[in-house]
Amino acid sequence: MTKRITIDPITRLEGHGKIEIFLDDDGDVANAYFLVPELRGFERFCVGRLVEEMPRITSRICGVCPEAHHMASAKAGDAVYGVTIPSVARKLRELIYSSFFVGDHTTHFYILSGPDFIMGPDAPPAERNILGIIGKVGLELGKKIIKQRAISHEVSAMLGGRQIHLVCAMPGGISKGLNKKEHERIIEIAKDSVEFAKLTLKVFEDTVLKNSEYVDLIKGDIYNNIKTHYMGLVDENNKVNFYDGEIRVTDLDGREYVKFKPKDYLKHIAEHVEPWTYLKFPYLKGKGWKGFVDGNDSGIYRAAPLGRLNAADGMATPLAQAEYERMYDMLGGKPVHATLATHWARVIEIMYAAERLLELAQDPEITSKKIRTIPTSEPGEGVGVVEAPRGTLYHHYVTDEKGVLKRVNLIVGTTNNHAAICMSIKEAAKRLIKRGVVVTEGLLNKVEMAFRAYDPCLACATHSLPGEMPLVVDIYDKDRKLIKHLKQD
Amino acid sequence: MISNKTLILGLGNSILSDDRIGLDVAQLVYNGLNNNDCDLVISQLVGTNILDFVCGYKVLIVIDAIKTENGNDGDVYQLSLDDMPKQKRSNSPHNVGLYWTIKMGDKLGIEVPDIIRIYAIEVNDPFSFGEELTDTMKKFLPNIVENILEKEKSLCTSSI
Repeated sequence: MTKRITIDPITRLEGHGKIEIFLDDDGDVANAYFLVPELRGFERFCVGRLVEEMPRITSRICGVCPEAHHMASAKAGDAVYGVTIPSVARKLRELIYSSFFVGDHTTHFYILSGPDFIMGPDAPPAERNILGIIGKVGLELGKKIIKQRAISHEVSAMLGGRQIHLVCAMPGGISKGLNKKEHERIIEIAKDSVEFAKLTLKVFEDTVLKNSEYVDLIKGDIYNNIKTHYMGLVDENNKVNFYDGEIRVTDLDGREYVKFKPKDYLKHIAEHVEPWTYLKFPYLKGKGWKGFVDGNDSGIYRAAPLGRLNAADGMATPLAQAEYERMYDMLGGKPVHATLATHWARVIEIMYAAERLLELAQDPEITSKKIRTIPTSEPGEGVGVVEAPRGTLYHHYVTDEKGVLKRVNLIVGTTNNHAAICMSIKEAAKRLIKRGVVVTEGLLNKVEMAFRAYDPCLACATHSLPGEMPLVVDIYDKDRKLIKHLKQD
Repeated sequence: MISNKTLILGLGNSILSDDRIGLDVAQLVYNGLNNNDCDLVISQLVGTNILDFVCGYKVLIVIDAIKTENGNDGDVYQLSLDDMPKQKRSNSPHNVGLYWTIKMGDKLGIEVPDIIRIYAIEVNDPFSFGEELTDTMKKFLPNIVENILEKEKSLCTSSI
């Protein structure tokens, strides 16, 4: 029965990310779309389950960032039961979450977006990968990257019950506290994480900011051409917070447009549907859906690192705040609309997450044993919101009196940016693909850079072999005849 | 230091019907081998996360689902690392597949397994939400496990 085959490239994962570019009569770009035939029906699958199961079930939506779903789900569970969790439980959840953010952003910066900057967008495709990066940055830094990821996961394993798919957060708090030995280890990890964040800022400085070509790329019009609203969770001082707070939206001039509590999200966010993609397009209800257009009258907003920094008044930790100020100084003040600046915002967030991890690890209360308030009230309805690395993540549950789910609604991180991703791709394609220009692999990579900056996570929950996600770009002429099909290989 | 041990790594998603087959089969193969030199990891994570589990083992046995265009449900393909796609560019965390993860570890001097055997199981429905295998795959499950066990019983003995 066992046989050897060469894997057929036509796999189940094909089509999870597809860019379609339509040319006009002159051969220039008329339109571009980013299509996502995303898994659907997850919310319906959850109906009929007990709400306390949700932190464990929803963390299986995604094999990349289960921690975000775990935390949003636990917070929604708190809200469903109307329970205020103990102070230390909140801090422990945020501690785990901060550690997760350091690891997740590290992966994106060095391994996913790294090839664009560290190797350069025009580097040969064979070098634009992780091995190329290691060759360029050196083995020592490469080992530090892997070590940082490992120690970030160690925190999850220590507090989360296990490294793979956390089981610690539950309605009312958390299932496990910190003992002395674990506490000492987490302080060590946090200190190492801050040092790693400093190193990463230096790598960004040396490889990107000291290279005028890259700075021009960030500021230039290929990737700096749409102006939108921005969204992110903020604390009581309007500083970025990944775990808790209110959702703040700022306009194109950096002014606060609206700030609302998670439970009120449906008053402010609606979702537009297009027939050509399963992924919806959230927009600001107060502005309405005006199509794929930017501007202050459009309801399109952006989340994720640059969105969070634009929507806030600053960072709550000193080193991250210093870099935040430097970024806005260098890029001409707030808000920054340049899509590629998202990478800079991401490394600033690595620093914030590491500093916050250390603050929480050194909090005198962090070893307290009062880690859960048992919910006693009748369950009903609740919303939990966290910042996932890829944008604001909403979990909304409605249950019956026994806590059995009757309705579930999720808005996941990448979805917030779907409209903006389409627009960024279109604007980049318009500037790169012109009549008479041969569409090459290098040019395709530059179009892809417009959406890679958003760190899109599309194939949530599915990763059967071969475990990679080919991106397809189809280009159609004015008669909608396919004239070019490009696929990563 | 690298050990002489074998890691059985079951990959899949436990709430996506047949996508969970790697998890189920890995557990059953581990039970069937009953070998003190074998460890088991059941993982629903992807990409570079896998590197954290596999370091320090001499032999890695990966069991996962696959869906090919004209495949027959229940078929088991034995693959090597070189059979894995080598997608050059990365757009999403999902893109960093097994090949690059292992190569990255090797390049960094991390003790990745010397011997890697991959069992890819052709499945019926890895797309629908569900916490059980489809009836089709339930029917094939004993044979799949027996098939892999038969092979691994001899290989585990010879490679350790």
